[in-house]
Amino acid sequence: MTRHVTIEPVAEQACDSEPARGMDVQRVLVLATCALALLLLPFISSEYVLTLAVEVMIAGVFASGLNVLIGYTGLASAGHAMFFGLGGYGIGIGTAIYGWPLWASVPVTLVCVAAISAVVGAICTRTRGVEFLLITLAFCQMFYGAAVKLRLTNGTDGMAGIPRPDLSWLGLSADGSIVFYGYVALVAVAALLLVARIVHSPFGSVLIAIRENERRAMAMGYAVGAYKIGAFTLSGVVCALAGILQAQYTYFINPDSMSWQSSGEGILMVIIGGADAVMGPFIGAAVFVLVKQGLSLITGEYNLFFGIFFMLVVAFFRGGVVGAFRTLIGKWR
Amino acid sequence: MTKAAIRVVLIACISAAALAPVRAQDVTPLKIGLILPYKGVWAAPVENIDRGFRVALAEFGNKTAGRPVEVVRADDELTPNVAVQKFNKLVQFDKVDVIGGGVSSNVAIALSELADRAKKPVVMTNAHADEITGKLCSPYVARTSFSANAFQYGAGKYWAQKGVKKVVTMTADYSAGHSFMDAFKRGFEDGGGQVVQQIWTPFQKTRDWSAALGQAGASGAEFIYAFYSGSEAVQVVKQHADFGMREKVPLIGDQWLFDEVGWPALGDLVIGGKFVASYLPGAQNEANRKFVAAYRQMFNEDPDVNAALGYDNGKTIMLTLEKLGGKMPDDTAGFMTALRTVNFDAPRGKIRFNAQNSAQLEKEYLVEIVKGADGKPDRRQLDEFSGAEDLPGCTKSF
Repeated sequence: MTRHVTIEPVAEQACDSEPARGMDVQRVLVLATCALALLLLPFISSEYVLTLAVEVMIAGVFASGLNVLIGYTGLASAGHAMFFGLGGYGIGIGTAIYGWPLWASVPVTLVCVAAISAVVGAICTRTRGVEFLLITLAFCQMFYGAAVKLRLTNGTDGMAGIPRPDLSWLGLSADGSIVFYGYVALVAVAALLLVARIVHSPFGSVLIAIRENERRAMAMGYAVGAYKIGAFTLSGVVCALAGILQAQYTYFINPDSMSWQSSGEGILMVIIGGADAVMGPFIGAAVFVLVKQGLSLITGEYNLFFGIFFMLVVAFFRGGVVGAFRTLIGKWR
Repeated sequence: MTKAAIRVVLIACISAAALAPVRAQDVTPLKIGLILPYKGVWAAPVENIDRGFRVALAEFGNKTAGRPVEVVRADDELTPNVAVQKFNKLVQFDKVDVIGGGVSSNVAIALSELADRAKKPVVMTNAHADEITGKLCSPYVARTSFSANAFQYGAGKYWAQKGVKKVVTMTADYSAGHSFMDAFKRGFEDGGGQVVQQIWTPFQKTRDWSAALGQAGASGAEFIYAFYSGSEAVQVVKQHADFGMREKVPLIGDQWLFDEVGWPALGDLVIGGKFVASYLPGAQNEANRKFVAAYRQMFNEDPDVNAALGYDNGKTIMLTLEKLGGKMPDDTAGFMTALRTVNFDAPRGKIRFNAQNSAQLEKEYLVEIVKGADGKPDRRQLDEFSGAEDLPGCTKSF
């Protein structure tokens, strides 16, 4: 255990250049504001805003999962949509084909995805850089192809009728926007806290050490390979969680959710938000969903303008939106 | 300002506020959401669907029971997840009363589930998958086109009854391909024929049909019955001709294989092509003559099958709204109850709905492409026959 502790201050420094105490106050303020906003939203907004918020939170969980790998471990995966899709397919198969209740299907799905992502991760993390990008993409396409072919899950048509949680014992129906919003918010906050807890743990410090200098981490005696597989698995499971929420939100799952475009959107969100902050992917997801939505209200060719917007973010916002915000605060001080 | 003046202003404001909703009630337009894949591979046919829809609304003066009708369009990008976002936007942001559109079956399956949960009537334009009004049926979902079984079972039976004994089917290996060709096979074999082989080619992954066409040529079939759409259709027709199979094993398809959109790319190769269609602009009936005239007047060209599908969709929605006096009932299932009683002469033939809100296909047409007077390809109707019933499978009672 002692050797984990030694690396912690180094990692903190690599992560945040601000003094620790100022950061804490700031972090608490940001978190409190977010929590308040989450709680108040249903009372002050329309049904449609809640729906958008649900989309933001689901995308945020997906991007957070991906960020464990991209931001903290320094491994850019172009195939994490496979876990997103597997999450949705998992509960689809569990509930519709095996007839299991949702409370059983969800944990079984997460365990299965953990096992699959550990195996896939064990193979993929043997490579790095462009090769890692390509091999994750290849795995993603493989699962996509399987989903298209599989008659059990209706091939390209996909499966409809994915259930939302049954809350009738509380006298609530998850079909309603407010209730579903609450459910997604709870899961998203839990997922975010889990990710935050892990990346700020000794385990997370080792991941950052791997990102900063893998050889040095190895020289310090860490089993770098095992840590990378661990990070891959964790990120796979969080992405699967997002996939489960997405399938419940749309009542539907089909192979499109495993497409490379969907993986790419995850990477975009991470980059827009800023890869070296826990909240980064969430903010990236919010910007991604809202800017796209705003642009699509103005023009049908919104993808063109979204591309331009993305280029501007990359060109002018170092460290994404969160990075730019931090720089701004730094200057203002 | 004196107190009295303030009071007068206040009273004026309050009464204006109180009156506003009443006045607004009279002129608030009834909103129809229209979800179609406007861009991407199906852009051309979808443009015609939209045009047909506009012709139908124009026929009613864009009004129902004196209330203006407004159409809010949304692009589903052929992706179910995007379709879900657009559905939520239409329902929650634009507050549409009813939704039309819905072309590809995966989008339609996602939409029908949402419609069922949100209790929002959705009237599909194409969405031929049998499940839409079968296994996945919902009291909030209708379809104005026809089911895969209605079209292809009817076509299969027709050819068998014409004395054709052996046929090979060929299509892309995906859901729509399977439901279409399986329906054709059932119809053909129930009529006494034999499908000697069913060939499945990779969906949107190949441009080389030589292996498939070779197998089809060697199968001993009298002709190939194929379903392809878009650029795949053009390539299949071209390569089939390149292999010199036109005389030996002709290629016969449905209206998508010989879609008019592909005619310019095929040139003279289309001449002599035979296909089964649910509509042709030359169909001899009063409703069609009126539709073709209106369409020509608005767009200066003849409508194709997609335009007719869009028209049927728009007209069904408008006729239902008229029955309801231009108001959406509080129980939105009432919209579908009214829709089931809609019965009209459409350009393609009579349209009526079965108990699962699925439009029935009264007629199918066998069409040959011939050289018209102006040297351009034109359609000639060879025969007409009736479409089949839908597959059973709906478990919900409406």
